[in-house]
Amino acid sequence: MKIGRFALEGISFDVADSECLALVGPNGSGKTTLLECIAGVRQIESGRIQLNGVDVTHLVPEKRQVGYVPQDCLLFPHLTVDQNIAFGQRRPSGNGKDRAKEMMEWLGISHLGGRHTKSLSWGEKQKVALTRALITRPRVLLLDEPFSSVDRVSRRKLLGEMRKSLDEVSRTLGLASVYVTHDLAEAQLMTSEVAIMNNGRIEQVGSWERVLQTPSSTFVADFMGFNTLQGTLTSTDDGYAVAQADGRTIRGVASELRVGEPVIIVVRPEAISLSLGRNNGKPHWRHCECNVFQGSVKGMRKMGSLTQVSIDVGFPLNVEMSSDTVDELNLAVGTSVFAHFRASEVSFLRA
Amino acid sequence: MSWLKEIGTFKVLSGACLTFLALFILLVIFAGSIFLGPSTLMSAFFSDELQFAIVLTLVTATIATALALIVSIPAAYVLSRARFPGRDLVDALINIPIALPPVALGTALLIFFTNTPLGVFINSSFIKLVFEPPGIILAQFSVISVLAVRLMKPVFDGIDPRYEKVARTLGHSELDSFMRVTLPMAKDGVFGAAMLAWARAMGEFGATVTLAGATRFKTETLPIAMFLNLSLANLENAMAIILILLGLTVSVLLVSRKIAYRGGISS
Repeated sequence: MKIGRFALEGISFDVADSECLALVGPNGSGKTTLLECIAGVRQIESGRIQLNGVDVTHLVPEKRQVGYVPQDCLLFPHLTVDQNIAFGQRRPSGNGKDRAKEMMEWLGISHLGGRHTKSLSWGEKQKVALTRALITRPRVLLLDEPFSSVDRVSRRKLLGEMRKSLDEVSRTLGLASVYVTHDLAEAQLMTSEVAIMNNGRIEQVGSWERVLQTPSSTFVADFMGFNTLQGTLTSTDDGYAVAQADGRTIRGVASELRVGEPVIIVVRPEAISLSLGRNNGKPHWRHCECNVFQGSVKGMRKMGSLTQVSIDVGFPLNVEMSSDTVDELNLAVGTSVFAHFRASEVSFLRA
Repeated sequence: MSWLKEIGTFKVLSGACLTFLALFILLVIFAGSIFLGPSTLMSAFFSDELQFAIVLTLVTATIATALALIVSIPAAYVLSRARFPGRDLVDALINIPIALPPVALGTALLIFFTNTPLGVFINSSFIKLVFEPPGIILAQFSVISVLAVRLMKPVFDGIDPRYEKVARTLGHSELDSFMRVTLPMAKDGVFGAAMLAWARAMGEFGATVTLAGATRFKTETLPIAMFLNLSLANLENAMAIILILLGLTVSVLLVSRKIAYRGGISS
């Protein structure tokens, strides 16, 4: 699909009924553009858009049956809450009026009826915007960064409420939805599937588990905040592969790469465990193929209940662990530590 | 002179300039009215000529403003939203009537309706404009329509186009989205622009006198009545007209200023 100088290429993904797919990617990757193309509010110069196998490329937005919840909710400021919701009905009378009332009751906002939109809290605005989008009986629901303007503290509470509403809506109506965000934690909380976009292309699509275990490209690994190292594949045996990086040997999951090929070694920060002695104290890791490296702490950044620890084991590694564990180990900059990560948590990508 | 230092010399000088300007305008206007006396002014105000001029001015300015809005609202909207080849050129062309002296605009209109085949056809077969009352409306329309576009474009610029996109996904056509979302959201700005355009139409002289002429009891709007009375040295009537125009303009400016601030126009 081509839109001006920007192009969306090879975009194709499936979202099953009642499922929600997160569309994540850095700013400017084309997430909102893609959503607007699906909704039909942005014209494409070339390419095709299919929804449920039906070509909707030339269908006007009002005929696509796509529910759209934009950034900042965009409730019409000159209308009250019930007028905003009734706006999605072509004939707001008889059954239509009942449906609006039913939907408002269902999503717990019937008490907001005659209120002016300016007087609503962010959470209330979100629910009104969601109800307004659902009143049109859409086939697909598109949510464009619904919490981008909300502060972090409020976001946590609102995300929980939104997740509950969205789950109920998706389950009851059998509605497929696409949720755009650039916040990975938010995306993981709200959805079970993810598509990662970069520069107008989808880099990887699949379940969170799969994407976290086996990122398909260096971009995906970097975007997810994984540790990436350049190395060379030296051998493969018994389902494992061995690579050399900065003179260190790292074991990981065997891939289709050939021995001698340059590779990018990927390890998740959460998959690394730190200990003060060579034994990492995890009994269930005893029989696993494990990589162990000695190094020292170079920096620490506390983020609430989690702490990000930067260590140097001959190459730099970022480790994400609970702040309690950091306290128990009495970690500080300069502390000598052992880093442990299982071979099953290491993947190799073609460099 | 410690107070001067305390307030600041620049602020004091700026305030003095503002006071001078305000007093100058008040002095010029009220000196004339005091000099002529209220009874003289009242009799001038209720004269047949001025009554005719007031009604003609109000009627023509209102029609011209209504016509200007019909054209200017969609034009300002397109200029605000659409991106098309030659947009800058169209933008510049629309500014021409603002940059041109109204007399030049009136002259161009007069030449068009008296010397070109299309203009002559319209003037002779469709509607008589040259030296006729409809010419007043056309002259006022020509001056205020572009002014209205200029005033309303920032109003539409200030409305997030995504509101229309949302309306489209909610099952409304492009026109319906504009009528039910954008226009109601722009209503304060549009009303403010309409008031300013109306005030400008009432004071229009240059283009009107050139196209519609200055015929007593025919094309005699308030500014033309003032011109005619001045040319006859009838100061009572001229002063009465100035006060009427002043009253109308100040009221319109006060109302439009209040509304326009809400709607995003800076008058």
